[in-house]
Amino acid sequence: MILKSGLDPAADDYRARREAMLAKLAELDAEQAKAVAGGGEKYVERHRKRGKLLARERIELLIDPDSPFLELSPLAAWGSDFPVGASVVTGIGVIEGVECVISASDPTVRGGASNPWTLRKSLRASDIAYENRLPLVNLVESGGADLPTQKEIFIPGGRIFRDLTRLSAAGIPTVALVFGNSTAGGAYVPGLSDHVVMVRDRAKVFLGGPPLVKMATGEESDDESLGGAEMHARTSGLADYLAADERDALRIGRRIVRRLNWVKRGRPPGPVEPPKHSEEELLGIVPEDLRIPFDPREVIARIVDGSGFDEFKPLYGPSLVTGWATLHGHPIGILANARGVLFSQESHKAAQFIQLADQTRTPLIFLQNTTGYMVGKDYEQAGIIKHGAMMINAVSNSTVPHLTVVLGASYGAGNYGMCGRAYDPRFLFAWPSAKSAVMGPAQLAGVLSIVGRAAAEARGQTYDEEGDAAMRQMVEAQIEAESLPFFLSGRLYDDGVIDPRDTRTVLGICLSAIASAPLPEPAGYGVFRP
Amino acid sequence: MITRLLVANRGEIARRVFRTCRDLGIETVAVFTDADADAPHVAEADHAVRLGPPRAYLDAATVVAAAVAAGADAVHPGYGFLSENAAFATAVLDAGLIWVGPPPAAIEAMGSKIQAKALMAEAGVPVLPDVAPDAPDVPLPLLVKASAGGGGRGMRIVRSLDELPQALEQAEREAAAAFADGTVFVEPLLEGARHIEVQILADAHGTVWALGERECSIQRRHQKVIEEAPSPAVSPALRARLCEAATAAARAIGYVGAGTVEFLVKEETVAFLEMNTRLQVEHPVTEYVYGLDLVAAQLRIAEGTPLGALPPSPVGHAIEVRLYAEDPGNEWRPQTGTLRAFDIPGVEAEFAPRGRLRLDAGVRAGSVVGAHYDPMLAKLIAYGSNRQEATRRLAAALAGARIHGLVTNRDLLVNVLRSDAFQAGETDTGFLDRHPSAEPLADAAAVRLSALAAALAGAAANRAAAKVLGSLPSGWRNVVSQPQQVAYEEATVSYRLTRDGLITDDDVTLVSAEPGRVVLELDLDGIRRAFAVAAYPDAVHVDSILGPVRLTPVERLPEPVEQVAPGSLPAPMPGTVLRVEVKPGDEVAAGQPVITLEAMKMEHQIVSPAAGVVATLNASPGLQVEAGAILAVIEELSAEEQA
Repeated sequence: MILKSGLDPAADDYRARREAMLAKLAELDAEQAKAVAGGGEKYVERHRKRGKLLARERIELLIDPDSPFLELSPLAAWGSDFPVGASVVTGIGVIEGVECVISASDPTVRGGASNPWTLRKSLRASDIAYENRLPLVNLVESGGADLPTQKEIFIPGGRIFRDLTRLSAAGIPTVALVFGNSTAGGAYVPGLSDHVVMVRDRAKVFLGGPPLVKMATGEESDDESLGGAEMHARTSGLADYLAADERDALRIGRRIVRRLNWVKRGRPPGPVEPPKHSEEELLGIVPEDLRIPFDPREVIARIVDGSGFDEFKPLYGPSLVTGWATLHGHPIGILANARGVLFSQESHKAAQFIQLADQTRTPLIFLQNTTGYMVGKDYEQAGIIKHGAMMINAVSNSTVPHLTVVLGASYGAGNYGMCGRAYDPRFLFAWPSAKSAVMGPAQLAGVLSIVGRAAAEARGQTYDEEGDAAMRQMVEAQIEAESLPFFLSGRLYDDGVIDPRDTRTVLGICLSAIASAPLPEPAGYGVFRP
Repeated sequence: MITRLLVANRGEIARRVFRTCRDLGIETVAVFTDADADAPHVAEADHAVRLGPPRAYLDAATVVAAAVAAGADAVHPGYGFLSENAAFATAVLDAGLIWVGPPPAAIEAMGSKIQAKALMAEAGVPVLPDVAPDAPDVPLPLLVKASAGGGGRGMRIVRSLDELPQALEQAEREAAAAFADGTVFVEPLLEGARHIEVQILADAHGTVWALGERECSIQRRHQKVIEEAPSPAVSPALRARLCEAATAAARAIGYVGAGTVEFLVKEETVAFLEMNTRLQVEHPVTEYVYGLDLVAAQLRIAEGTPLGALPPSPVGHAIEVRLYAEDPGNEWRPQTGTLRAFDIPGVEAEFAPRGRLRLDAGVRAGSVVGAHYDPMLAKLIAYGSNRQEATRRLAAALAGARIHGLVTNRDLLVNVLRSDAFQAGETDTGFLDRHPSAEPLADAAAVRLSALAAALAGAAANRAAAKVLGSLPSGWRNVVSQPQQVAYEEATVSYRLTRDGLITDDDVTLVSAEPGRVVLELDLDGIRRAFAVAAYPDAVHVDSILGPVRLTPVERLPEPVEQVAPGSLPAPMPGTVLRVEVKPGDEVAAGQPVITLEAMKMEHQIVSPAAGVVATLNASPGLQVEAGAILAVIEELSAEEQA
């Protein structure tokens, strides 16, 4: 059926919600602009003076003109000691009609050196390539590891190289376009890639540079003989292609992808119809105060094809909306929180729906706005733990791809049942209105206060009311800050914070990426009717 | 009666004659050369005979043999080629075929300009006096002309007497080379004169019709570009004089068929120029005004049918332009290549004087225009109840035409038609020298907007052709770093398509974009305009009311060109230098051996790519060389140095 909308864009509350969202989007733009600015004007200027292209310029030239590009984890390292963006650009782009994961180091940020967040962002990109069977193209120019934080990088960083060759073994091609430094450990990126292009007079690929060689063996050497592009193309054979300049490297990179003769293994999309309701109105749905519930059907009506949504069990467990739709021609099942709390009925409904989606190999989309599973005597006695566990079990063992979008609250075990980050959805994005934590900041502070008071009383001490108030305020502020989307995005707990109006587009790109890989085999049992 | 007609010609005139044949139920025979095997006139004919190499249209014996072989009973010569060749006409008649043209004697009489002039003067036709080069009081300026000439060859203007001997010598040499007859004569030059000609139809029974005049003053390099009927400068009295003179000329030589008597007219001065004993290129303007089919008339006359007593009366005004594949901004240089699109809006008839806009084209979209023949693509003829109406219609149709792949004189034609001087009827043979009109119709702002439209159409095409994510928004970014960029040699375009519309350097709103059509609205004036966009591998053509624009796309990621100095001779493979055949500073000819290399027991000769001087020599016998090593550099000599 076609969803109707009860939203009134002329109403004051709609306008207030929209204004609040626009303010958050302005902040998002400002933070993302920091990532785009890279190492800042001075280093960008220096880079350009060397006749080099910026990381994003390289990507723009590599991908097909006018194709969409979904940048992943743009806020990585937000709130850390390192610049926003983590000195690498990753994303999904189309090269010669083939969706690829592209990873480009940003040499204007401390020479493109890897810090712990660079590593996590790169590993996330590599996971996405592996899970979704997307060819991986690395645009390499990095000064290696950030040595002061090497303890966070060196040991886990080995996975970068392991992943490259595992991708290759899984039949997922890897391409390295080397624009500059790729030395020491970095030398194994071209070393383990299936296709290697090096830019003449620019690429420098060796295990040890002249000083290190001198120290190790006493041998006098120079950059070109140890790791120049010409040397690797003519002598060592590490470079398959010698590029005359950066644009030539990108041209060759595109030719390589073209010759992969790539065929997607998933279900091709059906016909596409835009939603009947305006995507623009997605700005005015989520209240700034997350204690006020909203109807997720208003969101669904603005992201699915033709606003068509066939609701499953609409009369049962109404706090969770489930149903079937298509998005950019891809069939999907949707689970969306309607009134925050998950009860036993909602858990049963979710478990059944997830199993049904598994049976028909239909990817699932989770739209989170949950305060968690219901607590209280009656609910505990009725078995809310068992029922919540049933839902978490179903989510965990469902083999169809999952996509999660955090629209509002994501608290408690509701985060788990609704496929939070730990449940490995293929992609997870957050709206600027999202908040995630074990519980709401006020609740958490209140719990700490009650526990503290009880402990004091048990010890026979008088409770320090003033200190309690200060503690509550501090804890509330800290939890609030740590539940905000920029903070969580900075820690790679999502794949990006998105403009609500882009939700359909982002999910469309993700569903198409998912369709590069064959759908996994279904789990063993028939559908349980809880 | 004619039942099967061979047209000894090509291009639009062959198609023109075929059209009448189809109307009359006559079978058609085309002849074609190797260069014209795929030409439209060949495809259209009922029978077609291959003549041979490109020049074979001039080979009378081969053409007559083709007519006999194809079972034709008549031959129409068209214009140009053999149309005014009396020997050809005789050969056709000798083969027992009907010759659609005047008697060979009439052709011959007009073949020599000196002889023709004398004949005309005798018949009372006004002629310019002959000037004896050694006469004491020679009137300046003068024109030296070749007696056997045409098309401006063997023609020289002389403004001072000391130039005369050289001009005579040059004209003689040129005429001898072009027409195998170096005879020249000298006339006073009538500056600022109009070229006006009278169409004649004469039957075999003594009736001669003079079908009014055509003015053909707009010329470049003595070749007509724009022709019209009637002339804006001819009064009824002058018309009567011209027609009388033309009729007298035709009668004087016993003319039969369609012919044209050309005059120079300056105010009241009328002087016989020459007579063309064939159908003229510009005959359609007369057809429109007189409601006649001149080819049908030619065929009937050839069949012996008498003309009526009186010709029809003229009504309205007709103007013809000749659309050439040539570059008016570059010395009218002929253009060759593939015509990608050829579409003229509002055409109501082809090869026939019907409706108000007529197209006589020798090409169609896809035709390859070579260097073998005249670069005229088509004639476009507009008819109106008066001159203004015809002019406006013709200019609009030309300006709105989609002509892709070749540079043409279209913009020049539109500029002339829309010029005040033309509209005032102030035309003479010096018009194009005084009114250089080669500037393009599209100005710099139009080029910018057209480039934007081309880029947006390209974006729409890219999205439509996308193998994946085709339904997603064009160029969507969640993190914006730069706009989409498209470069043409003529302009560079940056744009971003956002949920709030188009963002680009100009204040423009995008109304709609499809691969072939983009509608833009200028925020400045709020005016919407549509741009038709056609993309080809090497060019994008954008047509709009702002004028046609051709854009040359610049490759985003070009293949690098080899960075070797011109004239460098690299070793083709690793080997040993066996012999060095030259010394530094030696002059070498193209193809001359420079070095002999031994590799894999084989001797490889490295030769000079062009005539030049050995500038650098990096080889000596016994030297081991790598593949690609530059062994020598030959500095090319310029043409002057070679001479």
